[in-house]
Amino acid sequence: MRRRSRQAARTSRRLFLVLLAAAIAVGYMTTQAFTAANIVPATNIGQFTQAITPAQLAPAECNSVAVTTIVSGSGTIRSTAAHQLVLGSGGVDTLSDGHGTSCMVGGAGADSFSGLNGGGDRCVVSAVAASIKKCTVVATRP
Amino acid sequence: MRRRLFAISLVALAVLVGAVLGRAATATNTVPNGLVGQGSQAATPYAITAISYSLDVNNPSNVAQVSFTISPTTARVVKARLKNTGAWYACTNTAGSVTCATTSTAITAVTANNLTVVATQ
Repeated sequence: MRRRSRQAARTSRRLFLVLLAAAIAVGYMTTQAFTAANIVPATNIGQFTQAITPAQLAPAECNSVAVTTIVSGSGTIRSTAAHQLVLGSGGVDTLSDGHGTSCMVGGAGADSFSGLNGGGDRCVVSAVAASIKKCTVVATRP
Repeated sequence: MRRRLFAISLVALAVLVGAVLGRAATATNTVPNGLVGQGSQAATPYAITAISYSLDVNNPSNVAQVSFTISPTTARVVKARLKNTGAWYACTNTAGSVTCATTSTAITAVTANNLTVVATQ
């Protein structure tokens, strides 16, 4: 009696293993049959990041100045260091440099520019600029 | 005994009828051809070069635009921003030459510290 039940248990275990193997084989064959033929074209997507330096923001006409910092504002704007980009506003501004080798950029207003004597300053001025002293005009706009 | 035999015969007949009906109903189904599958291909990033910035000619405290070249040149959607957590600006790509006007939300030259470009086809 015990021998017969042990035999039955062994047979059902074998049957279960055979069924399991068959199921795995069928599943594998199905995925292989459907996925192998797919073709995915090459695509592009991405994100690019780069720090912005003051030299990159300076007008190309001021490349010789080698700008390292920026100062901006409206009214009276003074440089605080050499090799500085001094930016005016849309109003009437007075831009000045006391350290040398700066790039002063005026806006639409009747701006005044004052560089350092022998300091090698560069100025981007508007057509209505009021006065330009000790500064080489490298561009006129607007 | 005879009643029991009849009941068994009836159940067997019912199963047989059900099977025949089911077979008849399902055999006429037409299933169209379908495709399903999986595939993969690495997505490659774009190369951004020749970056240049322009200050606003009327108010030079603000940045007016950023321009650069992109490769591959087929990028359809390109956006840029000039500072982290700043506004995103829509860009125009003309055969790989990209221009992004930054005047919709003014950004000053002093605060522009990080260029981020996102692009997709």
